[in-house]
This record gives sequence, C-alpha cells and structure tokens, in this order.
Amino acid sequence: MKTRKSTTDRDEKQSVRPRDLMLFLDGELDEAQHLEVERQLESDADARCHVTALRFTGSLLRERAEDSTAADSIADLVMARIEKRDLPAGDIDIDIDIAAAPPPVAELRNGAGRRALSSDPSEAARPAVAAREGAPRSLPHIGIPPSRRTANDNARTIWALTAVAVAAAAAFMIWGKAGDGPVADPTRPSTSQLPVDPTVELVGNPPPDLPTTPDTDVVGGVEVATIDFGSTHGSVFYVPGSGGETTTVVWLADDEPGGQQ
Amino acid sequence: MTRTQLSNGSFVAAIGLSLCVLAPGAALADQVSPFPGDADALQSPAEDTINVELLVLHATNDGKGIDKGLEDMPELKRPPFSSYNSYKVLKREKVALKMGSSDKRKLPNDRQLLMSYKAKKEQKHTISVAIQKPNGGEDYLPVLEVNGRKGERFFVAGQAFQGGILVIGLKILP
Repeated sequence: MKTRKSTTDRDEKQSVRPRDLMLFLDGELDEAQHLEVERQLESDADARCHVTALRFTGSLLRERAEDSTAADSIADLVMARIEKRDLPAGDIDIDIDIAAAPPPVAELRNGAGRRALSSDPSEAARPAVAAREGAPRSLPHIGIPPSRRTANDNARTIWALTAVAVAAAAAFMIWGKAGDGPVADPTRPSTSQLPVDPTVELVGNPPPDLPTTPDTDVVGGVEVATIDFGSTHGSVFYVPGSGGETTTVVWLADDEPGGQQ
Repeated sequence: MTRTQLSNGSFVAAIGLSLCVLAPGAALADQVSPFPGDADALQSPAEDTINVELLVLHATNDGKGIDKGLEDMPELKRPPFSSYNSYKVLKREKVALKMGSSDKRKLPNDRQLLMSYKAKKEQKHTISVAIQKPNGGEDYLPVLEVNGRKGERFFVAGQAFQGGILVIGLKILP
C-alpha cells in the first residue's frame, strides 16, 4: 500500500499534461492556466525538461523551414541589389559568399544538439540565425565540389581524345585521296607556266645535250621517256584529244635554212 | 562508369577500330595496279613486232583547211597545231617495226626518219625516233624515246618545209 501511495504522490506531481505544456509554449492558455503551469514547472523538473525538449524541437523546425526558403531569397536579393544600384543586370557583380549558405544538415544537427544542452533552449537556434543575420548581403557561393570537377575533366579528356581521333581519321582520308591522285610530273609545268591556251600543257625547253627523262606516266597518252634536242630547241606539249586522252607533241624549232626544201 | 562515359568510350573505340581497319585497306589499295589490263599482259606471249602508222603532214596557213582523212585528230585544231589552219597529208603508210632493229624513212625535206622498236614492258612499247640530216653531221633530233600503248599516237612537228612545217605522226597500231 505504501507503494501505491508513493505512486499516487508521483501522479499528483505530474499533473501537468504534455498537451498543456504544448499549449503553454504556444501561448494558447488563458492567464490562470498559464500561471498554474508556470507554478508547476518551478516544482517539477521533469516538466521543465519536457518544455525544454519541446522548445528545441520547435526551434529546429523553424530553422529548417527558413532554410527551405533560402533559394527563393536569392532571387529577391539579386533583384534588390539591381534596384538599389540602378544598374543593368549585366553589370551586377554578385558576390557569393559561402559563409552565408545554409549549413549542412549534419553540422546543424551537431551544433544544435550541443546548444540544446544549455539552460535556455531558445539559444539553440540563435547562433545559426545570428550567422544568417550577420552575414553580408551576398549570396551563397556556388562552388563545384572536387568530385564533380574530376568527372567533368574526364569528360573533357574523352572529348579531346575523340577530336584527335577524328582529326587523325580525316588526315588519313585526305592522305589516302592525295595518294590516289595523279603524281606530279617533274617535266610538266605548273598551271602558271602554261601557255596562253590552258588546254595545252608545255614542257619547257631542256638545255641542249641534256636529256629529259620523266619518271612517271602520262595518263592516257604517250610518255616521253628520253629526249635529246641536240642543237635544236624544242618543247613537249600534251594536247587533249577527243576521247579525253592526251596526245603528246614534240615541237621542234628549225632555224636551219637547209631544213626547208 | 556512367552511361555517358561508356558511350564516349565506345565512340573512341569505334574510331580507333575504323582506323585499324581502313589503314591496311588503303595500303593494299596503293598496291593495286592502275592498269586493268596488266594481268592479261602478263599472260600474253611476247610480241617482237609492232605495226605503226607513219603520217607526214604539211602544215601551212594557206587557208585550205584540214584534209578529209584527218577528222579523227581534233587536236589539229588546238594549240600548238592551231597556229596553222591547213594540214595536208603528204605520206601515210604502215611500218612494221621489229624489236631490236631500225627502220628508216625519207622525209619530204630529205631528212631521214629513223624508227626503232626498243622494248616492251607490260602493255607499253618503247619506240625510239631520230631525225638525221641528209648531209651528215649532227642529227637534227638525236634521240626521242617514248613509251606508248597500242592505239596511241604522238607527233614530232616543227621542221620547216615549203612555207610551213612538217608534222610527223606515229601511231602504234593495235
């Protein structure tokens, strides 16, 4: 029976219900009830702990709610700065400071947890709020984590290698096509050396006693392998024919009177 | 490895594979003969004699035009032949040239045209031509050696003759 009495006494001490404590914290009790709860809190340590826990929980919820609207406040801050400076948007120097960024959740939990041990539960959220209020009117620094930068660098490397491979393929293609083309004939002049009519190709006069020996074939025409003009001057022409082939013409000068009958 | 990285890697691998496949193909393509009849030439028996058509024309500017037998030579209307407006056939004959021997023909200007069949390599025949002066001395044209296939023609022009020039055409007959 003694045990029952003890239990009854403890029940009498815990007369403050949790619901009343929540109403007390929210300020929804009338004055008489409010005073009664205050009186009971002075004598009930468990109730005080309960109130402290409720206040800490409430502060955490309010802080998270404020953090969730941080992104919206960025636009407001930018627009406010634009209006304040009255400058075009392109000239705005947006100073982004990571110190004003919302702290990571883990850090908030740890810090708040330590502060919750203080006697005044309202101080639990104060440092975070103070940091936000004391921060310069700047935006959170948008930094790229090292891991993200590494992944981006890998992608750039891959694309650079791809570009090099494509360039190499193009070079091989051009080289292959160049190899299929006609081989430069050392006996043939360049286009700038052609006579007036561009349809005729001229091989210049070789010096006397110096045979001209082409190394390559003339496409579709007779190839001049060796020529010795002797004391005469001459030229070699490649004249286009009817079927697209070329006709080789050795044109000699004849200055000797004896040549004409 | 992400899907994007896999895709990029596959692309690079595909290009590398293409290069590995195409490079040997290009090298083999370089070894392909440009002459489609080479295989036949290698199988055909050696020819010791070829026939050539000797054509001697007289080019002048007398306004008579080009002879009727020369319609198959449009190059006569093109430079440098177009510097003369008249071409008359002075001689047209078929000459058999035996390999290793020479054949001599007298030109209208009394010079001698010396023709030799020198060699045959694949489908190309090597013909040597020289023009000798009638009174001896240094040849007017000491050496002209050409390589041509059957059906191809070449010209040696420029000798002064009766107000014009002589144009010598040689065609390797099929």
